[in-house]
Amino acid sequence: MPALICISPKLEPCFLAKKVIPVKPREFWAFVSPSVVVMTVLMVLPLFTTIYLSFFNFNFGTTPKFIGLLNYTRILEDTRFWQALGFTLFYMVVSIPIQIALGFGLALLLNEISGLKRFFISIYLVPYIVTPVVGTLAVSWLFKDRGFITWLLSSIGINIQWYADVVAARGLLIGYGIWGAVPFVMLMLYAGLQAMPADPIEAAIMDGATWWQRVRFVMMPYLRPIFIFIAMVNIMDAYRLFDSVAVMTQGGPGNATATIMYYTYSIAFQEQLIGRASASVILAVFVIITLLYPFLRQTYIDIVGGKK
Amino acid sequence: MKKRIIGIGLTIGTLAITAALSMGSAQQTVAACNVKAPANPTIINVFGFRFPMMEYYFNAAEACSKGSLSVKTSFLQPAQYETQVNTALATGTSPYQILHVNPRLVTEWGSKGWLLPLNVFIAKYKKQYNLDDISDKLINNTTLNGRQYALPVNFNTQIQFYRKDVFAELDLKPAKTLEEFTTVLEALKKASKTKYPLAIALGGGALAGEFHSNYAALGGVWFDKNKKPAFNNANGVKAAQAIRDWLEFMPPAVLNYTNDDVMVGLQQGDIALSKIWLTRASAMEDEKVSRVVGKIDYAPAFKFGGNGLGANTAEGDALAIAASSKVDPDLAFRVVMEMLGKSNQLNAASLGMVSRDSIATNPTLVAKNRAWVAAASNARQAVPLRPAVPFQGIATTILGNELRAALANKTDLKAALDLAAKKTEDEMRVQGFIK
Repeated sequence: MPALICISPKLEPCFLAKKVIPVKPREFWAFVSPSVVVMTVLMVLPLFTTIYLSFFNFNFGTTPKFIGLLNYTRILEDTRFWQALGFTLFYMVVSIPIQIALGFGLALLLNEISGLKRFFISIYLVPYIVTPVVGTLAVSWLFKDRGFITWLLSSIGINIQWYADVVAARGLLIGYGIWGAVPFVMLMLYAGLQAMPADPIEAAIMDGATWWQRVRFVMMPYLRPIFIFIAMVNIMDAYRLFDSVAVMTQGGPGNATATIMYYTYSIAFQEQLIGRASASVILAVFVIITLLYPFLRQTYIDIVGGKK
Repeated sequence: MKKRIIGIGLTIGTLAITAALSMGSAQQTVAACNVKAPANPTIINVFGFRFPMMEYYFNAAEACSKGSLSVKTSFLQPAQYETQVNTALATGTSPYQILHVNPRLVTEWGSKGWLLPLNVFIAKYKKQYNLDDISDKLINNTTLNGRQYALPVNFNTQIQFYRKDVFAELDLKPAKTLEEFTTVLEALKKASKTKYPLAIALGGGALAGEFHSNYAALGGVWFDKNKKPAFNNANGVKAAQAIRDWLEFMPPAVLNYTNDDVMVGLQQGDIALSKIWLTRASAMEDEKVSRVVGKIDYAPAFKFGGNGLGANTAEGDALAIAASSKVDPDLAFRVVMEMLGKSNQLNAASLGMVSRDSIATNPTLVAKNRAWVAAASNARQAVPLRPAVPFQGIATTILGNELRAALANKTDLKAALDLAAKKTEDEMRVQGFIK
């Protein structure tokens, strides 16, 4: 475990650090105050405003009126909210393991080959480089009724209604999500593999370990913190899935592909219920904190040590 | 030397591409704009949703850019446009000065005070711009409690577009009633001359609009005298059931179809029949994008129910001025008037039925535009527009959501309408429209 260095005027806040370099309070605040100001203005204030608005009936062009917890009640009573939450969780459960498995597979392949590495990395990074909305628009057109993929499939007798069939529409979004996220996973894990010391691998080879045993019992444990980090980032990304839904399916057919973010957007900007959308955001924050808690706890344990 | 030759080659290539692009995007001729540029640099942003006639008017607006005055135009898809304008107007300092509206948006935005009443300017410029020539019926659609919030640019209504070659081959006639419409659809499906017999835009807000046309033709009202939702009755179910019945003749993804999707389907020969806005007719004859040039004919919307009313509204698009705009409203108004000048409307008449009576009823133009005859019949049989009340938007959104879910999931329509009515009433209560 690499030693963490803490630069702090006090020792108490540095509970994660292994080594503490005390600094003068004036220097400490000079360093951190820009971040504190930016975080306060861009994150803390909007969060408190959102919490405040969630207790009001507030639409565009009207005066906010206090209604207590009514917005929360309305959201929790709304079947569309539960459908959206259900699809969001389904999307996460299905897409994230595939993203990680594919990304890890590609990282291993890259790690094995000696030539053309740069070429393959460039190719793999294309989905990550393309602007999300542009990529989504292009892909959505490929799968429209008159789209190239739809035409190609229909020419061999496969007729799929990508935007009318629930399974197809969900599959399309999940497939597109996987396509977009795999490069990030691959890049992170490939970097991890590159940084891995050769000794444990060589020792495993000496002990007669097969390629799969080396991957399973040497590489994967070594990369565990990176896997956790990737899982956390991908959970957050999947949870705030919006652009592909807004561009491709608009939540349809019916409400089958609406996600929590799209649901919140619909309430805020289509139904113009800003107070209720604020309540939806707060509920969404609670859900994501709950989902991330095990990963955050594991990260804390990995760094500080202690009972798992 | 070699570098110089490459440089000259690149320059010539760039110029050639630029010239080719500018030729490709050559705009239709617009009339000269007679607005005098203000003393100070001024930008007027014109914002709307796209269809051929509106593109022409926006080009006409850009012709007013001269000296210190710059007129910029932009388009979005209708749903995104509404979202963006809602947010912009709510901020109290609209970045857009001239806005594309329809009667529903006039009600929604006008009742919140987001649009500028134009009565003063209309009185001031009535003679100069011959505003008496604009249809009174269209003006009524843009007026709320005596305040006129917008100037109509066209007459628009949902007429039947049909493939006359297919109809002739199958010996079919455009439907005059709902029953005939069903018969025609079955014949088209059986003959399979096109990929789908029918397409009607049902995506976004269009579904609630389609429901309204059917429901109002049956004499249905959205709210009772106590302002409570009243669309969950037998007529409401009949109106919704008709849409469900049509689904089997339409593309499976039609619940997401915009008017653009339907227009493209018609242009590409995938669809034999549609009920779509008159403003889409000119696009059928555009050789650059249409495979059905000369093959489409037009008929009024069929009558729905026994009241003699068609499943159509008669309305139109209009131009309004944002109340919170910092630009001189007199200047913005004059730009609007230049856009709607008689010369521009004469040119725009090739793209649809304009708002000036002298042009819309001109016998020569009517003879040239086959769709106008159908549109004129539609005007006589049109259902009333949705109520111009501030809570109509609540009912429209909720009904649209519940009906779409019921149609997509094949669930009970009466239950969906009941749920929509209950949710609408609850929401109206929360928002203080009823006690």
